[in-house]
Amino acid sequence: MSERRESTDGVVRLLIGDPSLIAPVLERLVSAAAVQAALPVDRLVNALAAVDALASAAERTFSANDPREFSLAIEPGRIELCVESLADGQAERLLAATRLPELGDVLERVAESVTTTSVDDGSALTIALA
Amino acid sequence: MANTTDKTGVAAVTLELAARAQNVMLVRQSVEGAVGRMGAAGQQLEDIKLAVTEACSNVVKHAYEGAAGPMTITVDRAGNALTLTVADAGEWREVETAETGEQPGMGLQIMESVADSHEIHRTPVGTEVVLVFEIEGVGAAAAGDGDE
Repeated sequence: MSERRESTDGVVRLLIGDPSLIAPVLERLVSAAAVQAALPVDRLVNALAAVDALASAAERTFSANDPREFSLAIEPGRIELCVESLADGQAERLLAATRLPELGDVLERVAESVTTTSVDDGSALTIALA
Repeated sequence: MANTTDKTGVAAVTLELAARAQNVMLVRQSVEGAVGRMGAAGQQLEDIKLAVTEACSNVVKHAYEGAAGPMTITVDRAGNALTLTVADAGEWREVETAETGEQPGMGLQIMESVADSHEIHRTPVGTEVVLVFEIEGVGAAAAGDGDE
């Protein structure tokens, strides 16, 4: 993200160099995005639960030099948060780390969809909330 | 204490989005989360939010003549100096208020007033506003204190 790129309306790109900032930045960004997308309040709460689970898992599973690159697509009634540029298999590990012993798979319970995809030599985790 | 550029030269936070009015709130919220964790609090936190809001509003109003070009915001910290940059790839200029009927903005004066230092770099490929805040009470602002 060092070069200035053409912006895409409705998409926010976020690169976090300090892992301790994942939670406070994502929480507020996703909250504001949910308001912009006019999500109902129960979906807003779900979005924040998803961010909490994701940020906690990310802080535990990312190493110091891992990229922490996110994109957030915003459209009326829907937001889609993607953790990008993950190593091969890391998306699955990150998703697994969001599972809690008492609650199970938090992301799949609160999100419309949760997908892991292989991209070139890496992987991505996408969480859709609608 | 959250601190600044990592070993790979990546800023603590980099945000890229379209220069649209509705996105200014996304920046404001994200910056609040970052700088709160980095030690800003109280009136200084409010000043930082105000300054970055003004800088982004200037991009929306002046950089692309109403189009949604890219807007890039970085937040970083070195020692006590917390640096925010707001960059665009347009031609930043003052609106001719007599032609548009708009009220002249106070963005520059506000940024100058609340930041400990500020610079505006105009280049052929865009404009970058650099705002520096000296974090107060660093010793008391442990990591996480500014988050809530």
